[in-house]
Amino acid sequence: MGVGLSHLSRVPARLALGFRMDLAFVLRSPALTIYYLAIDALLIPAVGGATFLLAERLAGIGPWSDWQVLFLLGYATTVEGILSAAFTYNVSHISRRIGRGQFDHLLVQPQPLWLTLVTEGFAPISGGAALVTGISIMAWAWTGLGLPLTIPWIAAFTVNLVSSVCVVLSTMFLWSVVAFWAPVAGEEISMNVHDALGSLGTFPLDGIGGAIGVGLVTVFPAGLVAWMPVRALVGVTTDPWGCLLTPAAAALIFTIAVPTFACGLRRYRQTGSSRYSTFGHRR
Amino acid sequence: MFGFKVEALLDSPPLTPAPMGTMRSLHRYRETVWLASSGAAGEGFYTFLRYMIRFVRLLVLLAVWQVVFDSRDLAGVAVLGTVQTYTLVAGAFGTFLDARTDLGEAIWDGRIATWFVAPVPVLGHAIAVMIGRWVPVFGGFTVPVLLAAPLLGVDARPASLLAGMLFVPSLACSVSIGLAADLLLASLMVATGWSVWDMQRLRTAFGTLLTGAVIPLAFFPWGLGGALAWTPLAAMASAPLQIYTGDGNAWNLVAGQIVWVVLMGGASLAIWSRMRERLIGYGG
Repeated sequence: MGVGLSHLSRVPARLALGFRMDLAFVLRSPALTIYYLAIDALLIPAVGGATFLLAERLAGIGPWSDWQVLFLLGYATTVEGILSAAFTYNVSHISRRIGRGQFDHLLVQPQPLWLTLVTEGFAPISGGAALVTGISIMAWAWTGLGLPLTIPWIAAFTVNLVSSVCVVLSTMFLWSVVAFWAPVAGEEISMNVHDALGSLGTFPLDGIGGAIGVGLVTVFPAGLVAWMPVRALVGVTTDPWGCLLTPAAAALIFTIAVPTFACGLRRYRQTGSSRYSTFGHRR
Repeated sequence: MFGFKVEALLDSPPLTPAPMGTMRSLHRYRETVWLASSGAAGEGFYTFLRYMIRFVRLLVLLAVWQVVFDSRDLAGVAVLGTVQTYTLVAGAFGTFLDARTDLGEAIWDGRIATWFVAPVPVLGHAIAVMIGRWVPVFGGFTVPVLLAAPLLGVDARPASLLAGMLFVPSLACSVSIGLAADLLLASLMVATGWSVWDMQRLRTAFGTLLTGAVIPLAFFPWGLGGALAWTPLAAMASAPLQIYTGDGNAWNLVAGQIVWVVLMGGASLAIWSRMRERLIGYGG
């Protein structure tokens, strides 16, 4: 089938379709949507609430000031918000689709798989509350920090934000490969990985050394969700290459995740889902 | 609807002498506890993954406290060793300090219909499943973490013998309040039709944060900790952990917990008894 990059021009149309469908969903049940938006807006930032409360009480944590910690929380919330707005409907939780035998639904569509994965989970209105909350928190922290709004800073911020999203998605896809071989055992692995990245990603990890510290920016890259990019963006570190570390790590993890996932996909194409017995019962 | 009648009959007071009747009642849950326990232990890969994540999170929190105390003068606020013990015990007993049953999920996916026709009370069944799931957690996480404490440089021993002894009833009160909160959220689900996922997220996000299970209430800003200390949230996690680490008057803390057990237990049972009559099971 090939990669099919010629289909790149179809991305905007697919996203526009996703937007219209999401709008229709919102207009059909506004009360329910407000409820979902309120829940997301409150609960997603609350994951990092402990870090923020501690920083507020002690005017910071270690080398981080309270405003820097607030920016960290806003950044982590924004990463989560992008996932929630652009990769919903179990696109990010891909192990569920693999484990349940629903990956066929993606494969039968008359377009490349990557195009489906990039566009199918786009729900910017119903899933956008966390994104708005995250941006608002960052903007508030940004005013407190007095950061320069220069083109290099905006470029570094954008590249790092995209890289952090890429890290989370790549890690979830990487671990989800387990579901190709063990659909029952691996069905919820992406959720577990996501929860762990989210809960660990809101802490300043400066004091973590040794194997755990290395592991948190490599094998289980919770440190790349917010800590490493934000410490460079808000000046906790003066390392001139600090802003490039997360994009480099994201490129590496993405490079590992794609062929690994493709390997699992080859198995899926040969064996299909073993989740259902020949009688159609779910194992 | 006959399930509701069976349930009502089984909830009526036993006619047999109390000790024997209680023993027989508990005996009925033995198999449920065993099934839940073996089922939870059987999720080998996930269980290992979850324990590892929890352990790493605990290490991160301990390291954060080290950084906080190294960089700030907290002489009049707290002692690092006490806070690290608090954090370690909170991590080790985290499951029990946030007691919750499957009741919400059972309502959401329709399993509740089969619970109503089972020959045991619904709440008893839910609690038996919860206790069954705790067994592997206690053996596979709580005990190893407490044993590994010296390797982490943390003293996991209670502040005194009395503190250790009072921790047990305090933990029991904490579990009771957690169950009452669980019942109230299940009732809210029935009343509003909200999803179980939102209920769980609500409880996880605010429950964990505001109970003092992650950071001690003394470290909350704006006097929030002092206000929360008077709420059932503090009685769920902060009180037993304070008792364990010898922070505060243990007897007063236990007394406060008992008040909340009575108030929340009574309220949750009264509300649930009304809400369960409005329960509609879909499932399938």
